[in-house]
Amino acid sequence: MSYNYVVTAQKPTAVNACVTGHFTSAEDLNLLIAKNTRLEIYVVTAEGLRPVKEVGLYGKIAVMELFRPKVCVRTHPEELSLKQASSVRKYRLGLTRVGDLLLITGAALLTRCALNSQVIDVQFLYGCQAPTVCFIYQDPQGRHVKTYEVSLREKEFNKGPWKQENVEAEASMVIPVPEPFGGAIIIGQESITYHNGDKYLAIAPPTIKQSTIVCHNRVDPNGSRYLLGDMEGRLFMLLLEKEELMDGAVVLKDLHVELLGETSIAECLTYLDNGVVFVGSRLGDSQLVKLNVDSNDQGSYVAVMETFTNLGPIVDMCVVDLERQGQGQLVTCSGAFKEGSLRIIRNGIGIHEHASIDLPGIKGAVKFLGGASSRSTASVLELSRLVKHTAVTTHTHTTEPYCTVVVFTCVCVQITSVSVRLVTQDSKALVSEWKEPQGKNISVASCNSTQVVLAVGRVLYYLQILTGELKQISSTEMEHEVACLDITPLGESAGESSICAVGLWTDISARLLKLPCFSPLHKEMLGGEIIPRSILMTTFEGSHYLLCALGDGALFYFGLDIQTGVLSERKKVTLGTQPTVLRTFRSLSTSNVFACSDRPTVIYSSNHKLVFSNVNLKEVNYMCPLNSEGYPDSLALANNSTLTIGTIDEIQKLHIRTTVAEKEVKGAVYSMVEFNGKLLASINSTVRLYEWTAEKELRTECNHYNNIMALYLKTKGDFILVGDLMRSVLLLAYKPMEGSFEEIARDFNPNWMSAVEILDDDNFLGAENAFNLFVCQKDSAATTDEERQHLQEVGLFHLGEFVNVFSHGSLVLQNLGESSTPTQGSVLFGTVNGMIGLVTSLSESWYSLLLDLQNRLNKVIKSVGKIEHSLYPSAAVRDVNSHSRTLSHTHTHTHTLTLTHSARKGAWTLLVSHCDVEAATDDLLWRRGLSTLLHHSF
Amino acid sequence: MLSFLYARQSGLDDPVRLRRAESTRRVLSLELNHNRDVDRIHGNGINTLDIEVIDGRYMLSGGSDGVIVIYDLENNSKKPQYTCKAICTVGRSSRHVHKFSVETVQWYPHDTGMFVSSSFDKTLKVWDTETLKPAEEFQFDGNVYCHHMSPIARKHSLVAVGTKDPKEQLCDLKSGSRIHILQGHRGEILSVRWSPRYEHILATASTDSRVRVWDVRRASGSLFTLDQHNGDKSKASSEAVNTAHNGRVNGLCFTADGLHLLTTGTDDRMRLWNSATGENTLVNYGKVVNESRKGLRFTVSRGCSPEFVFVPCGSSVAVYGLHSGELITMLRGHYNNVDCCEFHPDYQELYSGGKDCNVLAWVPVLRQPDIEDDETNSKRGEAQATINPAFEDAWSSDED
Repeated sequence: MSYNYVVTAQKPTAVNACVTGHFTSAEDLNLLIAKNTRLEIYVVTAEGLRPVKEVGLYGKIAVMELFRPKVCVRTHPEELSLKQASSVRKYRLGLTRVGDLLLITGAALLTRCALNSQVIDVQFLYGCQAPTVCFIYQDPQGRHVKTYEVSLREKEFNKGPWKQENVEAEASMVIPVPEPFGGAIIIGQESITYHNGDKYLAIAPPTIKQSTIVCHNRVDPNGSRYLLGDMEGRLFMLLLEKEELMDGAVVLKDLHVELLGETSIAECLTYLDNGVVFVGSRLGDSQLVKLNVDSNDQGSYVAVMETFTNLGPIVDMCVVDLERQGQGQLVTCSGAFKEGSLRIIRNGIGIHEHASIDLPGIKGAVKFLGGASSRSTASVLELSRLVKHTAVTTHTHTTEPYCTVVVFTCVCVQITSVSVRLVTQDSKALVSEWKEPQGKNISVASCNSTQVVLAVGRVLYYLQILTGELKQISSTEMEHEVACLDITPLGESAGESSICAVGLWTDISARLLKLPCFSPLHKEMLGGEIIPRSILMTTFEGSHYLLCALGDGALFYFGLDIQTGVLSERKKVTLGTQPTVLRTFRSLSTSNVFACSDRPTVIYSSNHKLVFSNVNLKEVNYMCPLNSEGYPDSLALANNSTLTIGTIDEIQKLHIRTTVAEKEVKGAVYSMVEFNGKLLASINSTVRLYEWTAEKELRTECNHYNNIMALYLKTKGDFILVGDLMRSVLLLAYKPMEGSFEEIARDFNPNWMSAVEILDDDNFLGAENAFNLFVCQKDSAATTDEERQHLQEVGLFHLGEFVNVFSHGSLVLQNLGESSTPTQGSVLFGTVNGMIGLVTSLSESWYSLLLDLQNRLNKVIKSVGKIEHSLYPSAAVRDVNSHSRTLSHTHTHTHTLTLTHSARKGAWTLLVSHCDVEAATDDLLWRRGLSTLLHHSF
Repeated sequence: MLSFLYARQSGLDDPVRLRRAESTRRVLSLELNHNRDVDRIHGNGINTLDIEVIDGRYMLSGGSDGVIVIYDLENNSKKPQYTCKAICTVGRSSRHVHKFSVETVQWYPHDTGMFVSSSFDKTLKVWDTETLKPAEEFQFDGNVYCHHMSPIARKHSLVAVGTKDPKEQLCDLKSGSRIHILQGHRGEILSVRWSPRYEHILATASTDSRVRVWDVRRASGSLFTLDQHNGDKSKASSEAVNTAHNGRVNGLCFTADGLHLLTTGTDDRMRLWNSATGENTLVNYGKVVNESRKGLRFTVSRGCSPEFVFVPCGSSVAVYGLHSGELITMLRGHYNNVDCCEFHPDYQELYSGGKDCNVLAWVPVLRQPDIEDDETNSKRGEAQATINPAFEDAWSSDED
């Protein structure tokens, strides 16, 4: 039996819907973006969009509308459709409220109230006595517009105030117009018309005929301006010109359409404020655009302010290792129409190299805290000179500096193995010097802008940096030799730390001591035999942490109470295989930690959880942040031979780089693959193998005809997996001797396939029309022919995403040290909404553990909108009958990341109480394994 | 097709659209196909067919000679051509066989381990599929014309039985007893169907020209009676008030979504009703010849857009647009009257049984497989050596 785990690498990026309003509070202007099963909430600020929260739902967001209870009547269609199950066609709708937000999840809202016709669009009208809906419907004669009043008492539709038969044949949208105009605008392929029962006004501007208008948004509350977006990505403004009559009534005089410019192909539009519009796109990148009063040189009034990457629709993809670092990169065919592009995706963080110097024998990197002016213009040359200069200074003392040079108000502290020196910055004059009384060598040291703590063997000294003087305050002797220490000031201590973190040899412990008295606060035994090499206190998202890296690349991290010095929530992760050095830096005004080792890693916090992210560099021994005019927000990274200066990409994203592309395919060849040096192609219902003749021509070697439509092909050795349009998957074997195909086995479930993949010799992965993944298994040991011919469906998982492509490979570095990833193999998949996920195999015990965990988590996690997790898979259209479900769910596992500690503990306790003793006692294994899994999921 | 596939993979269309469009195309291309045969077992007319919904693999048939056959519809031949094998039979030699004509057979909707048959021998038998022996037998006073089990019911396991007696009977499979009678009809009950939408809603059709819709939880009579004139009394003669047809009503069929109900009558009409209100939708199917003295087993498509109705009509099966009423095609192939037909929703195939003792499989025409004629290909290759045959094939298949 095969057990598989499905996990998300990149959440859906395609935007389905967006809405603006005051949601998080009455003062905040919010932008809410729906990305299939996820909802992102932003605050609109003067600087741009600031993310507030991201929530996942157990359902697809189909429609999203902001409303304030009792104020707005737009809630009614949903209520009606739920209540009137008998007269309104029933669709699986989940109605849910998040604060003031009403969400409708499920299939399209399509009513069949008293009409044997298709409803194209429905909206509530403004300014009517009773709630009134206006809708476009289609019958055999054409499209018509009708209004119905909603009788809340009888829960019925009654005839409305007006109707308009035979509107444009392609009329697709109703826009309700607020008072004073009232009525509705009907958008068609060629014309835009206004109706309100009395008045009828139509325009047919030639510009809109070119493409189809797909979305609209009201700009002004009085409804005098609307934004329209079409399939070519053009943005229009629809203006309603008003006229005041003699009796004071305001009526519509005319309609105007103006082309504003080009954006991404919009799926939804929302006007934020001050001429800023969010363009949500499903086929390309979403954008934040500014509408200018004057046009630019190209005649466009639109200026793009910000672009939000969207990978969807991922039509095809493959894994390559371009940089030959053992780390796969994914190349996707993303976007559609004019938005088509090839994108390269890599796990981890990209460093853009700006400059590098070959400088053999670098022992450390120094930090220049350039004051307001002093070294802000440091160039590469200057910098290298400085580096050399430091080396020179060092030379005179015949000792190497301990790489800690702190510059503050024109004075710097230089710590070498023999002394701590206070030096003025400009003249390089020595102001003050401290030496160990017996002249012993300093082994390790740490300093901040006011304090220095250093260790000489087992003795710790605490110095204060005063103006023009270094003053020893206290000293103490530890039980063992000091391996590393840190006095980074945390909290609001204003540059002074009251705690000193120390890592010791021999007993391999991390300790926290109070400054200045060195009284012990906390002792944490790390276990094992590898000494701590770097210790660091840091603050992520308001939480304090202690990080301690060992000589073998392992990292312990703890929650830290800076008042009491107590450590909690011990966790361990493996970053590399070599001694690791930890350094802090800031990027986009958040603090991050750079772990220098053979596998450089950036540590940052997301949703109050630490994330460990690979960097696209081979080896980094030392790193220090650099912020100068020439290199703003940069990092200086050094290994044995090179110093590199680079900037870091925006963290917390798969690294995505866009190149170009366009491709053209002709004919009804649905799939082609290379197969044993020959060409395998599927042509309608035929699977055909071509071989090359001596004349370099393709000649048919053999055919297989028993399909309805062979859409997808995958091969492994002599085996071919065929994905049929509607008959699931078929396994063929190629017989090289006979030059023929043999049908080995078939899955007889009527699955409408969208992608297939061979997991291993016996297991086959498929994705189908109803957003499910399934695994089929070949039963070679079966006793009867008939059983052997059947691929057994052994696993089913509702993904909620339409998978277009599977590809073997992984974005994570393989063989990450001693980390015990409890999974085997990995298949990546790409979806229509730009999601990238991973399917990997687990052992049975892991599977049952995770499944158990998932079930228990579901009891702890409150789902947004109270849509039950169990409902989610059943929302699939497909009839599923008692299949064993051996694909574990990802939805809840990702939730563990965002759980509070207590909730996590609760889930864990629940799990422990029901697990085997064996599994429960192996707590560490569980945590490490899970964190590895989650690490994968990053 | 390519445009549908492209729209599906770029997310322009809901994936269901491709599925509906392709299903519709397939239904429109149904034909008697040389690739598919069904074993000929029955020595007499075939009255009833049923395909189970769990795997969509096994089909039951019941014949006028009392014989019941189970077919395996799955293609295990590894070739496109195959014959649906009869895997077991309750033949004349079995001591459990129905004495007279089997009028209805139906799989137990939740498990293929059981099926139910009813016959003119005044019995309804519940069979164990493994042993082919009745696990339960219900005796009635008159011929059993029809029975039906709810395809969706989870709260009850009632079999609704229509017999010569105007009282509709409900048999409970759990207790093995006849637990309920629904009174209202004044003639024989020729057809009975549970709603596929609400598990307590039942429709019955009778020779008294009426169709009644019941909620079996209610003791007091039917919910409503279908009225062909929608309550307009001026159009109906006094005795025809509240009638569904001007003749015997012998066929009933809910649409797959349960929103509509189709009825057929010996007035040669077929009518489509709103199943929630009982309103006649007045879709005009024209003359649907119907001379059956017994129940007529017709069916609707599932998963297409628009949907279709398949009605036995003389020796052919007529295909109508469900909502348009348009006669799309007549499937001709039987040598005698067709009595029943059954749609396979997974593969858009239709099976029909008739008095000619045949079960015919109507299969969608495949998009032309790219079959090469080696000889012509090689000749062409010689003639046009400059053209790469690979491109040539791709082009020709596209045009096909």
